[in-house]
Amino acid sequence: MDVILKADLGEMTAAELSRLFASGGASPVEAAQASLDRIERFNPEVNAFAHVTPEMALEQARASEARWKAGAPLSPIDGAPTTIKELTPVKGIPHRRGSKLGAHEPAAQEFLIMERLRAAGVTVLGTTTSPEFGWKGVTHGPAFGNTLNPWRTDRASGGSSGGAAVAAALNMGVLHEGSDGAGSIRIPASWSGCFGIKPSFGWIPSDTFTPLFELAHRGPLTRTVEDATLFMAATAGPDPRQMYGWCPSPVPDWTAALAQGVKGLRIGYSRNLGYAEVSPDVAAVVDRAAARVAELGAIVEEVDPGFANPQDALIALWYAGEALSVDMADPTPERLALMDPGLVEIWRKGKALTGTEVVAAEQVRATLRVTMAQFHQRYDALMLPTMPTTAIEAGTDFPGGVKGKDWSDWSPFTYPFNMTGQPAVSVPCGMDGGGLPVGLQFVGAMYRDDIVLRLAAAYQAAWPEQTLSAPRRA
Amino acid sequence: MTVTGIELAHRAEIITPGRAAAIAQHIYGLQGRVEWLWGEKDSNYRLTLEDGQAFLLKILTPGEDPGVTAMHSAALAHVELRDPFIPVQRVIRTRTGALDARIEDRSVRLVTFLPGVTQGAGPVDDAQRHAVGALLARMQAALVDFTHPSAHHPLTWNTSLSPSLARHIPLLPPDWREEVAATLARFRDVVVPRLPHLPSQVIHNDFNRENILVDPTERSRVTGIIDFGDLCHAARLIDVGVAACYQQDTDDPVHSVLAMLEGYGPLLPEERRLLWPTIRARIAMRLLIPYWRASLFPEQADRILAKCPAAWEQLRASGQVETLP
Repeated sequence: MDVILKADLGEMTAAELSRLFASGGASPVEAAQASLDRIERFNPEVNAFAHVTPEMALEQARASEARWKAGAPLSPIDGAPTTIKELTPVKGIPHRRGSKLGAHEPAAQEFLIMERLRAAGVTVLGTTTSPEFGWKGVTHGPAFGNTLNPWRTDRASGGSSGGAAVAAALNMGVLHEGSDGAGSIRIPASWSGCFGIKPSFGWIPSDTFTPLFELAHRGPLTRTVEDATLFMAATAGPDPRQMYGWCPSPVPDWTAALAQGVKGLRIGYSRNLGYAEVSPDVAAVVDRAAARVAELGAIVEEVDPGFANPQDALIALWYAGEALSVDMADPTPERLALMDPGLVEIWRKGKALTGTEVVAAEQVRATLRVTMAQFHQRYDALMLPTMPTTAIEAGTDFPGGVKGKDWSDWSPFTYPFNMTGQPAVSVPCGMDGGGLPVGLQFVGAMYRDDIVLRLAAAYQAAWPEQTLSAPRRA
Repeated sequence: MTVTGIELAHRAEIITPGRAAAIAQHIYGLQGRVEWLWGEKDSNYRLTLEDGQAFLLKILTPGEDPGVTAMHSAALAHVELRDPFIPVQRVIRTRTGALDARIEDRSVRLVTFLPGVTQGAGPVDDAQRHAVGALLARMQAALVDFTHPSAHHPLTWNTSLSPSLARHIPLLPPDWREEVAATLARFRDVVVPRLPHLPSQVIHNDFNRENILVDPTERSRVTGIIDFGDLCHAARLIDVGVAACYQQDTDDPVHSVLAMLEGYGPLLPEERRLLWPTIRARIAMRLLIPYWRASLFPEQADRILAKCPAAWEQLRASGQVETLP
């Protein structure tokens, strides 16, 4: 029995591993080794990792092993093999932020989210890739090259948490920290075929400066909803150092909420928010998923929330924030030449924005919040595609390489909910004709992460999608 | 002169649904119920998996060159990549990741079904024509950088080559022959010499009402463009001529074409000048090719010729006009 279980360690979830750690059926050291083995086997084909730190990981795993042996784990995810997106510094690893301009010496300081993950006892395997400063929804850039889609390596992983999503899809670790300023958790979750949640803004406090302010959410990417919930439980909660937003207290028991099912939940289903195009294969897969949600007992009604595409406001807030990020990186001509040209372009555009334009964008955002709050008077959740297409060609910023207004052109369903701060998840719901995953998005009312987690968990339990046992070459 | 028609002259061996199911299992690893569907050249089947998902399994005619099959598959994949919002069928890859496969002397391709009903199944209005024109422009934009060696193969349904069909004029009813001959001659004399000077690319070349699917509840919304079987490299004008031919209304031939062009966007002045004789050449083809095929397969003549009287009326009606205003 043990032999079979251990052979499968690399395919297990955090919850499954913890059960084995508790029973003595496997140890955190074996789990860490299984994850490291997978990284060694798969990562050369997909490039999901910026840095892998086997010695540090095994050292942390040994400490976790001792805690489990003593019957005193720090949390339900003690010893869970975990990765951190390159935008969050990890002690002992250079904090490059996807940039050639980033630090080359190992980081000495960590953020609050790391403090909490450390307190939960996770094993940190290394850092995952991000485009430069996380500026776009695909993951290729000057510092770490191109992160490829594990389902078809000619396609993009999505981003900016592309490394985290690919690591999740291939189970190179079980918990993957990511961040989402305009869709950066949900885009790669949808395209690379894993689960991802952008929690309500505030649950996971930021104790460090970000020029994106309340757009920038941190959250997990995982294979299962259950694992993401465990990650959230470990990282959410108020702290006096919180710089943006607000974290209610106490934090709800999300794991308990998962078991509640979805019977009677009122779901507004929007095919395209009334303003975006959806590719035919995504539309068909999402329609099928919507019918399945109704079969599970939710009350599904077709409705658009009724807001106009807030892209221009998003762009103003985004460019203004990114411009400040670049300004803070000392953009001399020599240094600009080392940067992603797309980021340099939005730096210039961001610097040209006026204060009035940014304030006007904030007003669009305020109105959007009200529209969605009113929507949630009638519906517990909004259901819609995460992305209008499956993964685009690898290495380009625009589908077909045809430049549009902004990369957000092709992600019209994600950024509205960064602007509102609402909880939003992407759960795999099928494949297109070319074998690429499609994600289903659920959006809940502010701080009602329990609702979207329940919906995703019920969907995943009833209609589990296939997982990858190795990257698939195009 | 280029000899065309080879690909339409084949009579393919019938493949039983049982054998088609075995092919699906072998090439795609998919198990399901198989039903035969009608197809002009190919053997087509609906493959329904246990979960209800249905795909179209095409076992192509042995008359089709494998290079041409590969081109059609590559073009579908190219359009998907360049503009994923164009509603074309998605190619399901084989177990080895290929876009199609060979079984003996025939190619096999598996694609998704698209929702909607054919445009021809209901009334056609200007809003629909507008949408078709807009989608044609988008399809051309998606295909503009598509290249394939087989795109230059002679194709019977390439209007550029329509003068070669003059040899079939004797097969037509006697009172149609003069008008058809004049139509081909005008195209040959006025349009053909200019074709090398017009923008050219790989074109879909078959925007007919049976290949355009629309939403049955919102009929001006196009939900599908199917059948890349007539894809070829030709002047863009040829593609517009084909689409216009099928959007044209015999009662108001000019207005109906203008409605489509409004959606398509501007043509070059010379394209606009040459469009009318190009549309009429295509109508003539819709008489000549069926009569020629009916002579090869006389037992199917009724079916093959069913649409010819309407096409003849269209040719006569459009003959009242010299060119677009």
